[in-house]
Amino acid sequence: MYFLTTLACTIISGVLWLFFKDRKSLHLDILTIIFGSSTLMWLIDCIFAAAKGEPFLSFDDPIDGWIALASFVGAIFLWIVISFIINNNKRVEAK
Amino acid sequence: MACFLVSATVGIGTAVARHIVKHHEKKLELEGKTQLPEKFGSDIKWSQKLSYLELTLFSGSFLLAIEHILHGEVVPFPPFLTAASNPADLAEMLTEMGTVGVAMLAILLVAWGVGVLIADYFKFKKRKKGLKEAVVK
Repeated sequence: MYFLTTLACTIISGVLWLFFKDRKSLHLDILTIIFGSSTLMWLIDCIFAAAKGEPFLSFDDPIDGWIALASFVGAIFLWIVISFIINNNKRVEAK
Repeated sequence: MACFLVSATVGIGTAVARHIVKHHEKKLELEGKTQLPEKFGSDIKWSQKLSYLELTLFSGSFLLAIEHILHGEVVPFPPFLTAASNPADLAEMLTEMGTVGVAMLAILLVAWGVGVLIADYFKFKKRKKGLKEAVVK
């Protein structure tokens, strides 16, 4: 479930990145990379689970929804922190 | 179980490599030895490319760590990994790190490589176009 969540988030953030390409201070490329890398890692996890005979996508575990939510919040948190650091460093360098 | 640790460890190595490369680039800049980009791939600095790899590895590992914490596979007390307390689970964990972890690392490296190639291609094309336009004028 969290694989599908991060996949959707990657597509949305990627489209937003293309749409707001001129607004560099938003750092939407970083958000896309954060969601994209975790999507790829979970894709591998799903492939290995399927190879073991388990379902490729599972919606049975009730904790999966919380993991998807926590991943989304974690990615947004990471994006805000990294963007703040980069923007702040640029401001300091400009001074 | 602990597959994200493979990418996180390589991420630490990448961070060290990026710092060394950045230091070297700054040194060349101060000595005035920096040259204008000529070859394909020289438009973007290597420190910049490595920073994207670092971000890819650390961010993916961070989100997977969240998943492992919520699954109860990572705990805030030693040995931090629940599988590490049992020898049978430890062997399974190491096997998973060697298979799933390495496969995750490989796909991230490939994705980064493709991304860098595409970015280099567009920058190279843009520079060539600019040079052609300057010659015509």
